Amino acid sequence: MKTKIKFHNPGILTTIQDHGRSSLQDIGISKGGAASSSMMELGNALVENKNTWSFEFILSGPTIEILSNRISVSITGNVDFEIVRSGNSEIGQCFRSYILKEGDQVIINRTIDSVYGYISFSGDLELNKVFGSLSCNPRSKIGPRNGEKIKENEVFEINTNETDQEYRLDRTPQKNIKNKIRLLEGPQFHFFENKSIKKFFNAPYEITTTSDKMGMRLLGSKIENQKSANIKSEAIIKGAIQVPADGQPIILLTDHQTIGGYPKIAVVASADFENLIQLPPKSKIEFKKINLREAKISYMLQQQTIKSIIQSKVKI
Amino acid sequence: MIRNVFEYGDQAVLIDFGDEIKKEINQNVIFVFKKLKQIIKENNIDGIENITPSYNKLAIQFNLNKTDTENVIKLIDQVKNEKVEINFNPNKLEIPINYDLDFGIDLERLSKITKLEINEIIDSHLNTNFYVYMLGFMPGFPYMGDLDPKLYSKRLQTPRVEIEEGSVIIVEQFCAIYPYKSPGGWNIIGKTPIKLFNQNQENPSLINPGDEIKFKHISKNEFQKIWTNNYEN
Repeated sequence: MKTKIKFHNPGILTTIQDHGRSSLQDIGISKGGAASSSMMELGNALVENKNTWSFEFILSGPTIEILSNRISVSITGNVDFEIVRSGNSEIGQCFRSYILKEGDQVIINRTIDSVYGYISFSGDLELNKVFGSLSCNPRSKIGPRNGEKIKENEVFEINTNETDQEYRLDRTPQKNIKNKIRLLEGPQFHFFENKSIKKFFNAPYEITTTSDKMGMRLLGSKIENQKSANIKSEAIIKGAIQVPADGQPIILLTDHQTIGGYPKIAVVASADFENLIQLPPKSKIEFKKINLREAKISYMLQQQTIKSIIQSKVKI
Repeated sequence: MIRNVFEYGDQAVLIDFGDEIKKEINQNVIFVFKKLKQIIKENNIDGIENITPSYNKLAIQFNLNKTDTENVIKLIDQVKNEKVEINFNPNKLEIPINYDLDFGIDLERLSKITKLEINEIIDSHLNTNFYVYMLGFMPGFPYMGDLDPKLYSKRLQTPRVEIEEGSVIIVEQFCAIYPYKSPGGWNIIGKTPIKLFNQNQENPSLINPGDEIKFKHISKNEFQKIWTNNYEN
């Protein structure tokens, strides 16, 4: 069954996302994908999707109307939204699914104390993948529809399965975002003065408003370089923290460039990456150094938690 | 060949081949890059997400749900003691170029800086066997070297807001080609009508790390024919 949906208001920056595309960084394309893959996964579990994809929105979200047939939808993240069914508006609940019919609407007001939210519809989006992925990167113009963000009045077709069953998660993820971010030593950790390193791990940094999905610019204690402010360009990875000559760190995020020539003092532990990327501009953060073993255990525990949350899905 | 292997967060490692930008060092990087890809394909190894070569480093990114740092280091050990075959399938390409002054808009300025005639700059560029160190900056953007030192130039003080796709550019010992329109501060010496990047192909990039490139001069007429065919049809 084909269902059409229409974006009446596209939101600030709404894009199509999945898990991104691999094996292309050697030709200049980084993996990309959803900023919070666990929120996307939870949303897809609620609408029983085999192929994961979602609409990702930032801060202030879209208004979507169902133009035909019926479809299951879920909102994940920490989101203030409304569901309009048969002309009646109700306050929306995250981490449950809703069956919507022709004329019904999802109105996303805003994300609460966070940046990214996800709207997941049941079924497959009728668009051709680009390099094996539906993920859109408006800056590099990679993805279906040239990777552009969603525009006002844009209509999408979804090949959906007929269902009347709504679900909710009995266990939900923690709402509070931590301000303490765990890090591992970066490849050029020893480029930096001991004093500066101490300050880096003890003083808070502020996330500046010039941050986006490519990188998070921080403001705080200046990090002095004792070796060289530039290196021969090498591969960038998600979560790498580079320090340019001005001594103010930049954390490279999901849509990072593929190579870069600044020394990297640290790398964000994977277990804390999704927490970090949800922190809005002007938030204060602090860092803690951990080792590889601790990082791996934390990540494994986090993955288990996500699995058990998905397993807590119950019929409504 | 491999000097060291560093942890690079909990989902990547960084292999160190040296500090300098040298073809001999980069050939080792590309050798290990291609060898690893081959081993991963032949043995159906799961969990490796990206292998990214640069001048003198190779980064391997993996999925911690499927493998870990220890396993990836074992994988690197398999190639560590291999004898480097420098001619590990080098791909040789000829790129057509036209140097007319309305394309090579920086040639006159470069002529003053380098104290070379424009023809000498062109001849030197045409006679260079370029080697592709890496791709990056934007999809399909090749960092190629090395130019004759007498052609060395600096970046523009103020980068241009938009440079057309196909523009052939130089800075320091490097030459590159813009696959897309982009801002940029390199010196423009000519233009190729060839499309470098095609989203609809399995390997979308015409030029790949480790390739050998030679430029071939074509007339404005030939340029227009190929350009129309590539961009306007």
